[in-house]
Amino acid sequence: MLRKPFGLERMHAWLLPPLCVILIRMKSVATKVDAIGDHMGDVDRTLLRENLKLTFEQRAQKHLRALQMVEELRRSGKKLRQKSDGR
Amino acid sequence: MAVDLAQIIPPLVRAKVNFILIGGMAAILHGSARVTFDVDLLYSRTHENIERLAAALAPYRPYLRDAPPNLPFSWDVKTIRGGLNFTLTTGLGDVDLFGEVAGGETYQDLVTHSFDVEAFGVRFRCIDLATLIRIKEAAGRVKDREAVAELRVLLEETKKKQV
Repeated sequence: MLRKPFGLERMHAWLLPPLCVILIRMKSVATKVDAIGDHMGDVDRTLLRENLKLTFEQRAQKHLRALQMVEELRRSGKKLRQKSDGR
Repeated sequence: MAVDLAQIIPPLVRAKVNFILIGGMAAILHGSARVTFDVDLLYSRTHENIERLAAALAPYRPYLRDAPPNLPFSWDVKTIRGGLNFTLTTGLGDVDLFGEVAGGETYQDLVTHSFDVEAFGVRFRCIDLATLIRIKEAAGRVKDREAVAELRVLLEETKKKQV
């Protein structure tokens, strides 16, 4: 017959809930770190290397052009939806 | 409205407002390829600086973003002193002003973690890349995970470039 460690169930049972909380927290932190690490593999490095060749001002100008394009697409999408709703 | 750093930064610098560019636009200056729609600024909460900030933005009619129109909101020293962080819409685009960032760090805490950028005919402070990553991680927002991953890659690439 297996002998249980000396009084473990009774004497240290109160330790279990906080231990569980600590383990769950550690797991969630580890998951977050892993999630960011996973995303790092998906980042397009060629795009970033191209940006790093530019000056600060050129990076801001490039972003502004991208932003203007996004806004133009948004406006077109809105017009299209309004048109299809009017049909 | 597309926010243009070249429009927002110079009036603040000319008014001698002490601020640090943080958030998505700081990420753009570090080389990020993500699109962001507003400008995040960490401003100094000294009385003199609040006076300068109030005066510098006043001509662009700041108003609370996504708030109903005609609220009794006035952009002045009293409002800024009474608040801390403001999400504003202005005639120059959307601006988020932070008295402190996630983790409670202020302008005074982070100014040593920023560097001078010369652009748009002026010189201003931008948060350094390592601190930007730390702030975004402290905020702990799920939507920031991809952005943090990109910033970490940028940090790797920048270090490689320096070697």
